[in-house]
Amino acid sequence: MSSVLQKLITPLASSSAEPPRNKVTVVGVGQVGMACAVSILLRDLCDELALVDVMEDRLKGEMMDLQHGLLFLKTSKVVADKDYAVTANSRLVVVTAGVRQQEGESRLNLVQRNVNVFKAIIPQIIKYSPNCTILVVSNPVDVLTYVTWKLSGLPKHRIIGSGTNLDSARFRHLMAERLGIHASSFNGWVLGEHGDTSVPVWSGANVAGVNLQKLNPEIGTDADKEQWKATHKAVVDSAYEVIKLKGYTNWAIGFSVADLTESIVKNLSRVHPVSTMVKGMYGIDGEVFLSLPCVLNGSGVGSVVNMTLTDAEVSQLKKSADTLWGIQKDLKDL
Amino acid sequence: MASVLQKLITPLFTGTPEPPRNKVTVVGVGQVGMACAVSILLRELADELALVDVLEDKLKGEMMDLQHGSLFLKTPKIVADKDYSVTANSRIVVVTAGVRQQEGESRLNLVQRNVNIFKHIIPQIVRYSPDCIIIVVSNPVDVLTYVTWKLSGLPKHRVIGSGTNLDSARFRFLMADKLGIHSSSFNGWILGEHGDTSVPVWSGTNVAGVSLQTLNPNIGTDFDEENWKETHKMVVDSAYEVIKLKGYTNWAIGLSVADLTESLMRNMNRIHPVSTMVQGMYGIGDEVYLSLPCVLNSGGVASVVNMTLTDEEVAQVQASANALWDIQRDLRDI
Repeated sequence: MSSVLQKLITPLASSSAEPPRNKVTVVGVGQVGMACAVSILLRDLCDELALVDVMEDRLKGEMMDLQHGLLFLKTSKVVADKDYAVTANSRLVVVTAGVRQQEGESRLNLVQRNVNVFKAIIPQIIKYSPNCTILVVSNPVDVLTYVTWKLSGLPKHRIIGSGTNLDSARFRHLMAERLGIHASSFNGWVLGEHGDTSVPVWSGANVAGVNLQKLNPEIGTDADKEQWKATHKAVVDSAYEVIKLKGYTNWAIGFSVADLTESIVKNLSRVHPVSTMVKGMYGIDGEVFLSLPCVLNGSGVGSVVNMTLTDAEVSQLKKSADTLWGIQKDLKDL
Repeated sequence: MASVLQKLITPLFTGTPEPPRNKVTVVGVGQVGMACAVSILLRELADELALVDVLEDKLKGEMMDLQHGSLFLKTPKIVADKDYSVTANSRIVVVTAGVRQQEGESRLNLVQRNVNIFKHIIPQIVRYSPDCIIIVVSNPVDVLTYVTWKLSGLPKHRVIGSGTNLDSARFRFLMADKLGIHSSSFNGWILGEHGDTSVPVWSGTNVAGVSLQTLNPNIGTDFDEENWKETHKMVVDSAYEVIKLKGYTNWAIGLSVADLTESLMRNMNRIHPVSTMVQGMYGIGDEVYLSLPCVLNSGGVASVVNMTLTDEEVAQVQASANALWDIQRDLRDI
């Protein structure tokens, strides 16, 4: 006797289902991974979402919770497994796996712990999605983006670190708040290391093209009466402050990852401050990843915008590069 | 000396800023509250979002984390305080506060614990937003929606329980999955209690108007060879299963609350299975809240759709009503 399915529905297309065209994988279903997943889902950016983690129960629970909401979403397939086969044919893989920053711990102290985790992850990603673009979020993001590049064998334009995309978003929010305008109307870039030595490019900060440094030549210096420098400091301290209050950060980083994802899957060629391989630029010799304004599209990092930086800003970038290389050169087994 | 702000920006209008027109408050910043908040933000439903909780640090941390993402959002004002004055002029207030279901604990066991919390919350909400619509999410939702109605003094059409909106979404997902179609193409309603005694209206299940019961008259009964009844059982067990796996559920409920918020905020007159005051319907004599298909618009529950239920389905709805009234009549101080 035929089933309800057979009675109700007559197949027309006899070939197997189309493979996904905009599949996104999120590795790690902790707070950051799930914030990325939900932001991507709510912005309708993928036709299939895969989740991977080592904690099987939690992974299954998170997958089911999202599936139960599929009625309200435009992503028709959400899958999850600890086996990376589930990630096959991804366009973009977001890596959030790893151990998180403890209260007071600097990002650079996490390093060797997370390198070991990545050695299990990255080759598996490549095995199942040899043509993907990888977006690294785990901290310390610049070092781990370098590690990912080395472990993956992918060309450098396909490896992106979330970098200072979030720092710049926080900077724009805090600056805009002081000016009573929306963050998207304040143009300002924070480059270099995502962390303590990030570089606010004061020379470029502007609203509607009006350069703030022209209005206040001391902006960003210690001599500045308005102490705008404190706003950048608040950006650097942001993560620590939110971690102290709620134990971790996840929403802002999740939204910022969805923003990058949108540029990549929609081939937008928008410019974002993300971590890319900068050897040869600004006098940097080491193979380090740092945030610069990058044009992101379907190929990954299409190109890099050449900033006009002051000598002080260039030397800050070089200092970031040196700090990062100082750590990278001691990493084992890459 | 003029500040950067003064040099950069010349105000045109210096009166009091416009009050918000689409303000949403979420009470409770636990996993469910934040999932509701983020779903509402990512769906761009509110021009202002207020968060309230008793845990001050966590509340501030969550507020900051959302604010840091404001560059990527269209909700320009996100505020939070333990003092309810921050919720003033809300159109919609989503109540997620309360203690959560423990593993194995039935929803009805939570009741008196959550009633005491609501006695502090509901009067404050109404004080600052006397014209609002309240969506109650905390469990046991049907009882707590009744409690909210009593404590608020609001007319019944402005107090809604999230009810079986989520159960129906899960049902539609699970049924559609078996049929290889998208949840939104499977029409099926679960009514009555959000919980163990929810009622799947098999007589109404259809795809493109084709009644499943006509294809399989035993559907939903114990005689059904295909055992479709199992799918409804999975819906009832869903929450327990996800809680067992990841400790709580949040994404699906958050998405479903945003869906309700959209109908209310945008005056859509869409029909949703939500918990409403059903005294006088289906032979129910007590003042209980149960889920029926309700037309939602900017006034709240505009009307209720009269279902053609089988005698057995009516009996099940009445049984839910009795189970709920048994609990409600013993509640103190409402």
